[in-house]
Amino acid sequence: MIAEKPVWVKHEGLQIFSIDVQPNGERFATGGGDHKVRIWNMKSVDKDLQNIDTKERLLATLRDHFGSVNCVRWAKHSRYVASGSDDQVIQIHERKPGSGTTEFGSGEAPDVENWKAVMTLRGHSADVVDLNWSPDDSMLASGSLDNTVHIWNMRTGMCTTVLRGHLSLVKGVTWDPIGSFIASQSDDKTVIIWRTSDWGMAHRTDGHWAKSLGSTFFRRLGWSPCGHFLTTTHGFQKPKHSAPVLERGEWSVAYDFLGHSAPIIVVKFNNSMFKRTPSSTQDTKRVGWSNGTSKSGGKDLQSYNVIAIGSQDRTVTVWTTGSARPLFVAKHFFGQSVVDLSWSPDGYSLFACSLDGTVAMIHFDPKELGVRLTDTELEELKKSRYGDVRGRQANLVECPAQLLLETALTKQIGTKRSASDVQQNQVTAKPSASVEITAKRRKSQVDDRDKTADATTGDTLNKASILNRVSSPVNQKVYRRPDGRKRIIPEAVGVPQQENNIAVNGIGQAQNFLPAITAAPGTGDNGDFPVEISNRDSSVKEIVCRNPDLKERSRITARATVTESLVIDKVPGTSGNDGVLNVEQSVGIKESSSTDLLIRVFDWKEGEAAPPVCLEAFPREHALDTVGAVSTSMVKETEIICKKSGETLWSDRIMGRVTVLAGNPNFWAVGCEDGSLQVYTKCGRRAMPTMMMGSAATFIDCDDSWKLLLVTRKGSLYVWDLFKRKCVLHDSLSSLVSSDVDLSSTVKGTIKVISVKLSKSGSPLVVLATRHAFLFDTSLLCWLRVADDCFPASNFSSSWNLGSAPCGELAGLQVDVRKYMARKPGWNRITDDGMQTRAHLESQLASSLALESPNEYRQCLLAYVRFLTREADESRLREVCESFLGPPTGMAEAASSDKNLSWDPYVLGVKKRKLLRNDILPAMASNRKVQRLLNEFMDLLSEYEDAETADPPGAKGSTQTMNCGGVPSLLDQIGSDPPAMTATTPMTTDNDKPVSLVNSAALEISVSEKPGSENRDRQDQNSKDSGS
Amino acid sequence: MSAINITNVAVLDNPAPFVSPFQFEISYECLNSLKDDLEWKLIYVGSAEDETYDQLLESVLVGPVNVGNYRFVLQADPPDPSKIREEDIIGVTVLLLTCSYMGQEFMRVGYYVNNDYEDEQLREEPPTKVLIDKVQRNILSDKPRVTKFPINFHPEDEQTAAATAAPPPEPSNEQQQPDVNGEAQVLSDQPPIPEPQES
Repeated sequence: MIAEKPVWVKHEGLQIFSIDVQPNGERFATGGGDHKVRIWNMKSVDKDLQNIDTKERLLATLRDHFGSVNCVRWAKHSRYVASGSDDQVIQIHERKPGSGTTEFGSGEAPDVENWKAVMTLRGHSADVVDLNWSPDDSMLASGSLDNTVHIWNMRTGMCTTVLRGHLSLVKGVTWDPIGSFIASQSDDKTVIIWRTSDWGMAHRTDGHWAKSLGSTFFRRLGWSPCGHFLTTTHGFQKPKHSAPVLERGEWSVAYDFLGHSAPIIVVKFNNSMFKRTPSSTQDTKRVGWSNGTSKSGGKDLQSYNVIAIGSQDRTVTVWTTGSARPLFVAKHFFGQSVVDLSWSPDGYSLFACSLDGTVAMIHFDPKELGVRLTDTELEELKKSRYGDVRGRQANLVECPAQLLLETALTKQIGTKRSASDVQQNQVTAKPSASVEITAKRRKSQVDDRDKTADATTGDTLNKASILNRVSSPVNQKVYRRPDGRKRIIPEAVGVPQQENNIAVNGIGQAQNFLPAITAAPGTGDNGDFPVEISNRDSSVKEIVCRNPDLKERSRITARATVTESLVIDKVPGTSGNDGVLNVEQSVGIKESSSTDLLIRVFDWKEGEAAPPVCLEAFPREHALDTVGAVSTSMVKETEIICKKSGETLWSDRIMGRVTVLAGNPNFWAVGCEDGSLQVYTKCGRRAMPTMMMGSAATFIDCDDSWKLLLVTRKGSLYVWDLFKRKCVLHDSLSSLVSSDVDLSSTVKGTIKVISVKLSKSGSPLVVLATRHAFLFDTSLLCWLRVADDCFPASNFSSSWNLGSAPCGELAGLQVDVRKYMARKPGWNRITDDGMQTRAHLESQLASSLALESPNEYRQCLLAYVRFLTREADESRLREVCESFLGPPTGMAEAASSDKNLSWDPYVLGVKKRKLLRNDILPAMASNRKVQRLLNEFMDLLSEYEDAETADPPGAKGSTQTMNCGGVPSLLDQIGSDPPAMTATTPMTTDNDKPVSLVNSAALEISVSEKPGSENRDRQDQNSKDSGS
Repeated sequence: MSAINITNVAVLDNPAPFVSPFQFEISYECLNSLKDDLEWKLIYVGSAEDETYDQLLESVLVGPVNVGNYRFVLQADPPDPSKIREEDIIGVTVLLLTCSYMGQEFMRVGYYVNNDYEDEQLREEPPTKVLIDKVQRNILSDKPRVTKFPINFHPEDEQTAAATAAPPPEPSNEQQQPDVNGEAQVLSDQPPIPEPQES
């Protein structure tokens, strides 16, 4: 045993009312009569490491209280420290990022760590004397001189319950480690046990404290870690003061710790239980109490509690519940009452503090206390006695994985909140940045600042503040309010408090809040290039991008189009000509389309160094003098030049103004304002006669091979296979017009389109100005909304854009939606009732499937399963598992082949059962409530897989995987699937062009040709997965 | 808990002639966003004995109050010498910088100010009529005396009006203030609100 009294732990010589060791063992906190909470470094009192830098001893001084700090208590998770004070409030402190600050004017050195008050609990009408966190940290109990116990919800900081029943000052509260009760002790000489289930009084005990005389600051009672004993303070049994021990259930006094010569103020059980070392078995004749464990197995193996008792007689005693005599008595340590005690997390060090303003540490040896039970052993013990606590206490965290998930969730919510703070800060920072203040004053200020800086450099105390100060002049905005008062908008200095958190948790989110203009679609596409390249190793790559010197201009165009909007107008019932789409083009387009267009194509076959092939289109409006007959009218002509590293490969001229260009190593396509479309071969031959689309091409896109997508101003959508000279798809965007409720109601059938391109899976993908994204499903022959803003409250709406943003197509769309939503005024986060999150995940799952984005599908599936697991939604989980498990292999053979076809063992190229085994089932393990389901499917899966390996693989492949041919790779699967399944890099130079479309009453949507071969399996699979 | 903590006050342009404006660069940290602006006031104590000689030099609103660290420069006109008794101009007095939220003062920084002639000869033989243009003002900027008062920053979401029943405020600076020309008590005499209680 080593005892020490660190003299440097002090509160300006005033009383120290409370001490508590952080459960992770890194720090301890003290609260004192100087109104301060101090946080100290545990390393400085470690029994081995004494020679720590003295500056590192005191980590922080918290000056938020306006009265003596009576109690400091760490939460079990070590993150918060709560303090109760004579000023009637409870402060919750948390360590914030960054270095500590100094109190201005205090003359003290800056803190080592940056601890800040994060919550203030107001409600008591007198001094707060004792505090205790609930076992799961979700609640805090506080006892006060106002005769009440308050229960605080620590998520909201609100007082949930006030326990009234004591007739005098409440001077001690403690929480049952099982979570079922709270005990409080009062100057009315009673102890009350409160039920936590309904906050009713379970028992009131009196008598044992009736004879005690004198008054003490505290009556800090304690509950044993096993939950069986409640040791109270301030008892009296002639002729000695005692600590009566109540037994759980009966709540009657089982025995007393007897011997102190003055009232007992504080008792503290060791956080863990102990057992005898095997060597000390000679101590079999212990008398006393054995914790109610009636299990046989020898007394030696029985575990016991260790308790420390502090008294007004200035001594500390340490007892075990296995012995009638104290293990240890510490006399002459203190000059006044011992008022608080705390055990270190390892159980071998005891911290005590006294009204004389000092603290003491006593380090014990395993030989003295015994061997500490591990946490699992303690859990087992509790379980054997109280049953599975988890089952009864829904609030308790059920397992570590659960806890992890929860923290992940709260993190997300936290970042969101802080992110919006940042946004606010940005908003405030901006105007102040643009402020002008008289330059003269500015100058003099700078000079002055230099002066003051010089003057204070020697002053170490102000050093930190100098560091904080930027040497630039203060950018503040000063103006007069209408009422004549002067108002200053201050300059934000340095990093806002919470921005560091964001940097840790998700940089991606912060980007969301950047003004949308920097993330205009055009530039966003550029950013995607490298990822796409690295993702795919197919031999030919096609890239369309802008010439560096044109870039600036095209960016401007992109911006202009965002604000001026691409408009497809649909005005119903205005004209008599049925089914005719009228076209109007807004001014914005004409301006933007008059710029030169340029695209580049990289041929990756020739290696990365090969210079790109560029296709440029220059409007030549004035070069028309030579034209004979038509020269009276102004004819527009466009010159098209194809270049490779400055050398012209070919050139051509076409009539009219070119609006769109597209190209890949196989062909070039040029769309004109007059609705014509010219397709060139690689070398510039006109491959086909001019195609007439009826209205100007506004969006064009092509894939790596031969597929070309075109959207006209009328809203018609075409997809051709130029190799086969066949139309793959002809549809209209008109169905999107009506589907967009928001806009059609406000602007009378107006729809703004940002981009149309071929998705990676080869289907047309339309993004509207609302950032809703639609995918045309070639099997269902209709538009699917794959990204929208329907789930703002979903917990997962943010998780997407964290890591997956750059790589996933769906995530990209989602990010766009969120960016857009964040700009909207009045957009608020609504709290989720669970329904939205589920619906959101389900739709995400279906969308990622539709977009054929296997990574995102897997990610989303995982999130969905985790969510269902947490909600213990067994029926949905079962359906998901069943869909991934499929019919039993053995039965498949026996049953009719039709039935078999309906189940595809692959989803997006990944084997479903593999997903089930590697992802779904492990995710389900996080909640024990669904463990039966989990076991069931584990059994089934292993059974099926056994059967599978027993079967000849060839036979199975032929029956089950019709279309896929049993090939587990996405690309291969796609390749074998002709209609819309080619991998593409969807880019156009001009996907930001405004378009307007006016439509008459009856809008006819004609699909010229049904898409080629339907993939029955995929369709089935889609419907099944979206339903599950 | 105070939502606002002053992290630093730099007294700019000090020492300076009596007639030149005051400039304070105030840095503060905000832990909770507040709905209303902060009101900062600079008060010149004209006479240690009589509160009526206090001059409110400047009152500004600072906002919006969002979480983070901020700074601004508070500029104020010099006190009007005609409103100060002749015998009080030269010597030590006090400058108070206060901050309030919704009319509740929660922070007060007091500075000693020494006014004297720069010219040694004038100092030794002060003229009967104060030559205000020759008076030099020196703020003892390294000895601020900070007093905090508990107020409720979010009255609407608290259950009780704790601020009203709050215990008397105490000066957060426990250090003994050096005796400057025998006027060390001047600060504790000044606050019109509850007397600070030395603990």
